[in-house]
Amino acid sequence: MSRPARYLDGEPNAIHKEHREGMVKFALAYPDVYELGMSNLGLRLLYHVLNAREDALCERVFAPWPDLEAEMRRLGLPLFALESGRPVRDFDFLGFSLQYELTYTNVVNLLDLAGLPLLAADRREGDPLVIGGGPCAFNPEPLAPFFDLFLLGEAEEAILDLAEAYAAGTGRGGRAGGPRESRAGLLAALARVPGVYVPAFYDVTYGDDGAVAAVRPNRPEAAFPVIKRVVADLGRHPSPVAPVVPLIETVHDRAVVEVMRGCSRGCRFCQAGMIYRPIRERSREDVLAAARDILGNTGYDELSLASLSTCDWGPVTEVLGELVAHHGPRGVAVSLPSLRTDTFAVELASKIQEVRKTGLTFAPEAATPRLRAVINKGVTREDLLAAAGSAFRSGWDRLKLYYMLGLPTETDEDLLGIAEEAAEVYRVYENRGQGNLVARRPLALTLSLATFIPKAHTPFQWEPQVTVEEADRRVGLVRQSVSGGGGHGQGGQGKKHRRSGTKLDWHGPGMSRLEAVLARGDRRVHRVILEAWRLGARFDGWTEHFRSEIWDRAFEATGLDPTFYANRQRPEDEVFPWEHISCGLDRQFLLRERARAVVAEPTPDCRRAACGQCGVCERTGTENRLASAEGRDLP
Amino acid sequence: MTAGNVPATRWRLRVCYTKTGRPRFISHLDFIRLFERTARRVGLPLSYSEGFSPAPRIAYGWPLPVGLSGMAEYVDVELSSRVTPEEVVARLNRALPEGIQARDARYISPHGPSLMSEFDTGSYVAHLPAAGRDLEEWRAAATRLLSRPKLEVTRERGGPAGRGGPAERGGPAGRGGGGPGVQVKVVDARPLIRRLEVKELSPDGRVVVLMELALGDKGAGRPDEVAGLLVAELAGEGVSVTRPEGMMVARLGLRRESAART
Repeated sequence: MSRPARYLDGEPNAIHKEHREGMVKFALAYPDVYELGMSNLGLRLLYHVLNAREDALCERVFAPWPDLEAEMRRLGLPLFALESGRPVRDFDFLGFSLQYELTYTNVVNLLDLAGLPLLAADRREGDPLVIGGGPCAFNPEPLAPFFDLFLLGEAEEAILDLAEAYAAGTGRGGRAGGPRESRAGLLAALARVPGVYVPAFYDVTYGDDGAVAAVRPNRPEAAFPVIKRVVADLGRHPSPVAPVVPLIETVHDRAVVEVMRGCSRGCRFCQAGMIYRPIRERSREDVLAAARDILGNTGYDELSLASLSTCDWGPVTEVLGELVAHHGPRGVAVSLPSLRTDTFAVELASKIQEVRKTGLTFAPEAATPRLRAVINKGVTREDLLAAAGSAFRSGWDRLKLYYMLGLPTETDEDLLGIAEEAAEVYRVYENRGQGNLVARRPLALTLSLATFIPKAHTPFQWEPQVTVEEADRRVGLVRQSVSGGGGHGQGGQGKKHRRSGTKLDWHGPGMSRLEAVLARGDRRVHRVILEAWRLGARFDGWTEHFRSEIWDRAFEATGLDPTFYANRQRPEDEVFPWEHISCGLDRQFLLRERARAVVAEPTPDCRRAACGQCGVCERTGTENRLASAEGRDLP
Repeated sequence: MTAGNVPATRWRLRVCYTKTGRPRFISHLDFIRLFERTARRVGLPLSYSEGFSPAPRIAYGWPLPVGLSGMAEYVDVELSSRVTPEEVVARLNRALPEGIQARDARYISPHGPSLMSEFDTGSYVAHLPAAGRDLEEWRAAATRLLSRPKLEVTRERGGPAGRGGPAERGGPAGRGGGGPGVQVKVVDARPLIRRLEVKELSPDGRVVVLMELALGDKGAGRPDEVAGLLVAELAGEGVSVTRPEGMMVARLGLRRESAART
C-alpha cells in the first residue's frame, strides 16, 4: 500500500473525544488524499470550532487512495473516521469540503464506501445527514441530489447554529423538548438556520430549450434566495493555533496564519474574489500572537501568512519584518502564498529571504493591456517588467508566469502577446546588470497556461468556455509563437516545450471542459457524475487518474451534452441553475461589470476608491474592515 | 548566535528511541520532520547552523525501513545549553506520538565520529509463518542459503504512487503526473548478510529468525529480502519470494562489526 501513514491518526494535536450519548457527532470529509486535505485551512477551522464544544465532536475523513479502496472493498471495511476508527455512518453529520469540481466522483465514492444510499432521497432515519460546504457550494446543483443540505459561506458560526438546531430537534445535549423529529422534520428545522440550503425543498423546472426555467421553493422553511454566511468580526474567531501536525509531508507542510478574508481587487474571472467579499483584515497584534502560538504548538519551521492576496494586507511589511527578526534565528522561514505582480511584492519576498530557495511566480493572467483591462487585472506590462527586474537583481533566476487562455474577447493577438511578454522578460534579464546579489545562471522561465472557466457568480458567468478544439488551436498558437522567435533548443514534444530555458506547460483542455460542466451544471448533471463513478472515475483532478473516455461514455449514456453546459453563450435573462444561491452580489452589479469588461473599462478596488455597489455589504450586513483605520499607502 | 564570537559550547546528546506500533509506517524522511518539530515544540534549546537558512543540528542514523519496528534507534541532537538527559527524555515523551518513545539519552563528545559511522550492522528479528516445516528444515535451509556464493535480488526504486496532484490554484492546473519511473537493479545480497540464525518455532506456528545485516553507503541488507530468500530456499529451487506474507520484522539494535572507523 502506498503511504500507509496517511491513515494512521495519532498526529500531534489531533483531538480524540469519547463518543457519548447526546453529543452531536460530525465526520468532516475531504474528498481527496490526506496530503491535500490536511493543507486545507477551512477544514482545520471547523475541526477546532466543533471540538471546542462540550456537546459536539468532530473527526476527519479522507479519500482512500485506490490501493486502499480496493482492499477496503475486498474486506468489506466501511469508510472510517481517523480519530476513533469508527464507521462514518455512526456519525450524525457527514460533511464534505467542496474545494474543486474534479473531486465530485470522490464524493460519491466516499458515500458508497460509507455504506450510505448515494441519493439523499433514499436515505433512512438514522443515516447521517450529508452536508456540503466550501466554494463549490455556490453552485451545488450538480451535487444537489447526493446531499441533504449545504451550508453557504463561512461556517465557523453557522456550523454551531446547525449543531444547536440538530440537538434541539433530536433532544440531544440534555435539551428537553418535544418528540424526536423525523429526518424530514429535522431538515425543516435546519433549513431555518441562515445560510442553509436543503435541495429537496426546491423544485427545478426546465424549458423547451433545455435551460432551467425556474427554481422555486416548495416548503415555507426554504429561504429564497439562500444568502451566504459571513463572519463580520474575524477578531472573535482567531486563526487556529493548534492544528493537527501531519506525520507525513503534506502539500502545504507549514504553519499557516490567516491574515485576511476577501479580496476587493475585483478581477472579473475570479470566483474567489467575488464570493468571499467583503474584505476583513486581522489586526497586526492578532497575527503576531497567532504566529507565536502556532509555532510553539506545532514546531513547524515554516510560517505562511494566508489570504487571497497577502501583499494587500495592511500591516504586511511591518509584520513580516517582526516575524523574520523574531523567529528567523530559530530556523523559521516565513513565506507568502502568492505574490502580487509589482516591485512592492518583490521587495517583500526579498525581505523574507525566499531568494534562491524557490522560484518566483506572477499571475499576469493575460498578456496584452487591453485584455488585462477586460478582466480588470490592474497590472501593466511595466509593472510586470519592473517586478521581474527587481527580482533578477535580488538573485532570482527562476520565474513562472501564469496566463489564462480563452478569456472573453480574447484574440490571437492577445495570445501572441504571451511570447512577446516572455521575450521582454528575457531582455530585462539580459540587462539586469551585475552585482553581489544579481542572478548569474541563465533564466529559467516557465509559462503556464490554463483554460479559462467561466464560473458562477462572476461577471463572466454568461460567457461560454472555448471548445476543446479551439483551446487546442490556441495552445498550438502559443507554442508556435514561443518556439518560433529564433533561439536554440529542440522542438516541442508531448505536453512541454523547451527552448533556451523557456518551458511552456498547459493542462488538458478536456479536463478544463469537464470542470466547466461541473462548475456550471444543473441538477441533471448529477446523473453524469453518478455514471462516471460507476464506470470507475476517481481522483479526476489527478492527471494520472483522469480518463476522458469514461466521461465521454457517461455523457453519452445519460444523454447530456457537455457543450450545452460549457460552451453555450447565455442570454442576459438566463435563469442560472444557481439562481436561488446568493453570495450577496447584485445581478445588476455583475451585468455592469460585464458591460465594462467588453469595453475594457477597469473598475477600481473599493478599498481604495468609491464603493462599486456590488451589494455584498448590504445583503450580508457586513462591511470592509481594515486592520488600521488610516489604511496604508497602497499602490 | 552572533558572528565573530567564540563558538558557543555545544552539547551533543545521543538519544535512543523506539519506533513501534502504528508509527512504524512513518518513513525515515517523515520521521526526520516529525522529530525536529517535536524538539521545537517541547522547547529544547536546539543549536542552529549559521548562515542563510539556519537549520537545527540534528543527525539521524541509518534509515529504518518503512513497516519495521525499531527497538533501539538513535538520533544525535546538539543543544546550545545543557539540559539533563532525563529532562530531555521526559519532554520528548510528552510530545512524541504513541509508538515513538525516547528510552534514554547521554551526552557524548561533540568531536566524536558521526552517528552513522558508529554503526555498520543492524540486528533484526523476523517472525515468519512456519508453513508446516519443522525447525530442522528451516535451519537446513538457512545453512544452504549461507553456503551460496551469490544471492541475486532485484530492487526497485522510484515511482511512488500519489505524487503530484490537483492544482492549488483556482485553475485546473494539475501539477503534472510523471515523476521518476521505476528503476530496477540487481544486487548481490550475500555479502550483506553477516549472520543468519533460525532461533526457534513459536507456539503460534511461527519461525523466529535472527539476522545481522550490513549497513552502509556501499549497500545495506534488507530483512524482508533475506526472509524472502530463506523462504524460497526452503520451498526449493526456482522459487522466488520478494516479501513473505504475514511476516513481522523488528530491528533490535545497531552495532559496529569492523574495528576501523572511517
